[in-house]
Amino acid sequence: MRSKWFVLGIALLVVSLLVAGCGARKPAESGGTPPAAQVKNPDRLVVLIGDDPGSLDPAESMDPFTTAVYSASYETLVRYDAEKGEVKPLLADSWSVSPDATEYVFKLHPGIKFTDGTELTAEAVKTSFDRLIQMNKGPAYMYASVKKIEVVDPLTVKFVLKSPFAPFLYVLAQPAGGVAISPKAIAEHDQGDRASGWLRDHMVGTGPYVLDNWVRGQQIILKQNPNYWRGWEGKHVKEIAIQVVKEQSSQRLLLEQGDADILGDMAAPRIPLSEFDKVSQLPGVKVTEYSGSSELIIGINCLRGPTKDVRVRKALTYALDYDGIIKSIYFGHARPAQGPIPYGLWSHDASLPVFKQDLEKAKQLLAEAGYPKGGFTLKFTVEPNENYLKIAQAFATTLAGLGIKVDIQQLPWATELALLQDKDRAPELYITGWYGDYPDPDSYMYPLYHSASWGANGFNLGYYKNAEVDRYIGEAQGISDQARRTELYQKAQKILVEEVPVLWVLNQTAIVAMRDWVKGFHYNPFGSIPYYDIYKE
Amino acid sequence: MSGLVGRRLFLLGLVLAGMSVITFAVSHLVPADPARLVAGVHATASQVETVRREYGLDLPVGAQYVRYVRGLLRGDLGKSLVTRRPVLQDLCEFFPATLELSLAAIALCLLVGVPLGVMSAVYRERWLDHLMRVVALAGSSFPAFWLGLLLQMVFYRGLHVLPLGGRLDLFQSPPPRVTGMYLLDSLLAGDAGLVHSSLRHLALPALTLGMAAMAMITRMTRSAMLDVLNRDYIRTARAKGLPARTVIFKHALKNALFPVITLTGLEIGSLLGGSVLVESVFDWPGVGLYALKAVQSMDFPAIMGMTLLVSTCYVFINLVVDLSYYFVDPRTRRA
Repeated sequence: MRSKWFVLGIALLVVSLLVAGCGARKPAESGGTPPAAQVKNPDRLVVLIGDDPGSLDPAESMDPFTTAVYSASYETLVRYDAEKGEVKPLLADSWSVSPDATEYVFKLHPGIKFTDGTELTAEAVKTSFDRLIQMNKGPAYMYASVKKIEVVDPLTVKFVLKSPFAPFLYVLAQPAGGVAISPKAIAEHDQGDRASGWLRDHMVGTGPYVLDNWVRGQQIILKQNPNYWRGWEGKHVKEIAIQVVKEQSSQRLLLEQGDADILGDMAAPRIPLSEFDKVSQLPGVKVTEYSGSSELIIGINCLRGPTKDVRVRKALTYALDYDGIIKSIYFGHARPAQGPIPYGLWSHDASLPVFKQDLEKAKQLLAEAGYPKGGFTLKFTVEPNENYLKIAQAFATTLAGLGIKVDIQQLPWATELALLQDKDRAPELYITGWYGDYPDPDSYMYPLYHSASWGANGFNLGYYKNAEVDRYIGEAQGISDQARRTELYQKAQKILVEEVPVLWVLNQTAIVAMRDWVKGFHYNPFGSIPYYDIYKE
Repeated sequence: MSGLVGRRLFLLGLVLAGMSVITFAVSHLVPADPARLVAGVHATASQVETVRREYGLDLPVGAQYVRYVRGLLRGDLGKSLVTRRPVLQDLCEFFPATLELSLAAIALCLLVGVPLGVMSAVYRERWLDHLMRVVALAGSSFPAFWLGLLLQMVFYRGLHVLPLGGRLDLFQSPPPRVTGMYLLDSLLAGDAGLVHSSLRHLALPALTLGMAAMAMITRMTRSAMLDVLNRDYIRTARAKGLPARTVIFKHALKNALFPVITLTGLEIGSLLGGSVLVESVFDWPGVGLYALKAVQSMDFPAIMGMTLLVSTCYVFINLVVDLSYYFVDPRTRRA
């Protein structure tokens, strides 16, 4: 009896292993993968995103899932050319900025119509931006400097700012918030909510694709806007499906089988970094790494405790094992940071040092600061993120060797933030990712290092203050000359790397995976998917 | 019977009142600021304040609870912090998907599990019985997510016969909404293409979700049948010369079904509440995924709405189970 059971059990085990083994065969052997040359559904583009957009109203949402959808239907006045680092025309043909960066005048391209037939005029642009600012949600924070919007003539619109703000042009060049929405649609569907309820699942913009159908949690179907103002000459796709697929393994399988064209979450790569090589070797799949917009920092409290002393902060800088983190936690898919502004963004300073671990130097600096054997404890808060926790643990181990005890506390993000915003209770160390919202160094400098951004006013959560840095950052906001601004940012960066208010751990690379039949794609770390330029061949 | 229904509905009221207090208290004890989460990483203090006012988070906790209960009495579960829509609207959208999946899973369980259990009992200690028991054991020990991945590997990647996930093919519009369950709605609409597509999409998730319950039902049916098959009245029925089929299906199975009914009721409840993993593996947009996202983003109105929905379901399923005893077992009618 017992042997019978045993045999049956073994048989079952063998069968299940065989089945599992079948599934794990290489795609090339499974015979199912279409050959690379044969394009599946050439007129339809399938983009995978990891989560449903919350709301399609550009004045309300700015998460990457939402902008990945609405940037197919809505357009901005200007756009950012990531390759050249320049602002280029879109709805506006030309513009001028007053030297003190308080007045921005845009000349609109004539003859553009919204998908409901309404004409794009200066009045329509004013309506959209007034709505965005009055609603005061999500992306509105970037437009807080706007005092008023004036209609100069039917095709000329002027933004008057409360105070000089040179990054404003770059704010307008990113997809979140500042898009043109049909004023007719807003008026018709306003139920005392500025049509927000209706615009949550409808889009009436000037863009190349119109919303055809949204099945929440599953797919968003977009079709060509037949009257699109840039026309349909050349190669384009006719339909786009933005499919919500949460599981990374499922996204990979769909891409492998050619049932999906692009993994669309540019901000957070959907490929586990540990599987990068495997995915990039899949036949017909193209994986590209770009300089991204996100950096990883360990913030240090500059206000209290031993870390108030710059020598201790510098010692911490030399204690961190940057290469080890990049190699073993990010599998090589990150670059050691070089100062506060990430690679690829204008004002990045290639002459700044790239810090490396040097424990002898760390010891020496600690001794100079009066802590030859360490002997103090640092509180380190970490939000629930596996990589952050690993980094914190590795750092704690290194610091233990220098006699510094690290007390790691993992907290939900909102709880951690509340703690960090309380100047008297803020921990000595915290780790966070930072990405700029607009392609201007200001998006990295002002919120993190200006003393006006302390606590709840920004993200200077280590309470760093340096009058000179404040002055450079403030001055750079107030002039429109980019060369002069670059100079100011570089001066500020030189001071920052000397005073290390944070540890710049690494700059994450953006990983974009797509089928090799997708053509016309270009990456913009501060933009979205260039739907209009993409075709399949 | 009306007494039973009345008592149960009263109980439902109590359960819901209790649940509303508990979920409200728990969600407000968590030291986190949901307004900050909604407003976003880079939001200014004034933006956070706007969100706080919009959702009534600036009121004292007591006032928030009164506001919440008033809303509940009007059928208003509040507004989700994530989707920014009324929670009730979200639940109406996502619940039918979970219900469809759970009903398909339970149908599969009963259609396969009961006959397997009966066969196992009839062929007791023979090779068929052993095989069934091994299958049942394996079925209840496979973790659902693993089984799901395995099925995807075989049927999507290997054989190319079934889709990887979702409820319909890409670019396909759902049937006109009647129940929100695509299979039923496409049948009602008489659209063969959609029926086919919904069935294909339902197959793997339903099998994955139902596997463990199927194994339980098989084992329960087997043991109940074995118990009944040894009774005197079965011996009598056999002695009378009744055909084996009549004895097994008419005399024995009917009496063996009580524990199976109870178990099925419990299983439906746990399938509804426990479909998160399967929904996640197959990207099945049901309340499981909705709840998961709500928990991850501290979307308290959605979490509270979900909890009330699941509690209501449990009470109703138990009521249906009790009522089904009433029809199957004449003794309960006399009592």
